[in-house]
Amino acid sequence: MSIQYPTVPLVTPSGSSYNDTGSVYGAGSVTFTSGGSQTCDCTDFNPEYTSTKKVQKDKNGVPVRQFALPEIPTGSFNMIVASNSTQIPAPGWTFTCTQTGTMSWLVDKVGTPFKQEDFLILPISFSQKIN
Amino acid sequence: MRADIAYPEALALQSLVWNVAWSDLTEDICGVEVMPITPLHFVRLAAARSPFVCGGREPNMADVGNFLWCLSPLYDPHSKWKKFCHWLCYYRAVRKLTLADLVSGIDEYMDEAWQDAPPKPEGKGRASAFYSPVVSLMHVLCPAYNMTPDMVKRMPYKQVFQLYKPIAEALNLPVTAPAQIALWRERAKAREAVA
Repeated sequence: MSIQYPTVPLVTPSGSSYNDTGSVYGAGSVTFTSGGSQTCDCTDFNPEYTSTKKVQKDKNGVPVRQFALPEIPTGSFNMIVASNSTQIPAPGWTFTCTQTGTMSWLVDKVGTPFKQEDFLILPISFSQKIN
Repeated sequence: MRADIAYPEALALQSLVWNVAWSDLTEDICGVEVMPITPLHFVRLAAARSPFVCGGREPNMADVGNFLWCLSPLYDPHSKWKKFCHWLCYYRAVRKLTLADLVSGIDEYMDEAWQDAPPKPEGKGRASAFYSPVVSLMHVLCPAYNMTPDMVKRMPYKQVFQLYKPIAEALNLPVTAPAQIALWRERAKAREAVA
């Protein structure tokens, strides 16, 4: 197959190799590394790298220093699978996403599937897999 | 949107349909001028058990004629003159067309109108209906846009579905674009070819 997806709408695809990292509509793809093995499209991939504030105080309770303690990154995305797909992800499966490179993520929750034409849209919540 | 459409074509068509939906223009089915379909047209056709909205059987010429009359800009059941003008245009336009041509024209028109229809929850539908499906649209759109049920009833579906999208986004429900679906199809085919 010889498709390269343009990142600019209304530009005709061209190229000589299949490039699965297109960012049209934020259309990255996820690849399951445990539980399943399929690669599929995703939309609205939103990892959140949150942190909590920790304040160090002296013996009188006066703030001396404050730290930002990183929390485990979490997020959500919509996974796109064919409506006749038999591989539906479940909590505990791990995956990587084109948008975050080799970082490994863990499926926390799979929401109600939505059907759109011949595709299922699966809302998935995830957190970073800590080794 | 057709399943065989390529992504760049889908993008262009999507953009055209989105913009034309707000330009107050009439549409055309096989040379017959029609209004963009609204919930009011839908309930009229559903009440008449039109196979184009209810399904269940193959449409015949009478169904095509009724569908085009219901959507005609001249539609007025009380005016014989308007009805005469419509049927004159209709017979001029369709005399060289077959039933298959007309049905395919209507299917294309309906597909285009529904191109932005929201994704439906899979397998969680109600077993029985308690009101007309247009009431759900009114329930969502009226408070969000300060509209009256009558305004929603007379608003083309192409506008209704676009107005629904920001509401769905705010509720964290999945929102899709027609060209996006063409893109997923292309990518799925490409992946199958590589595998």
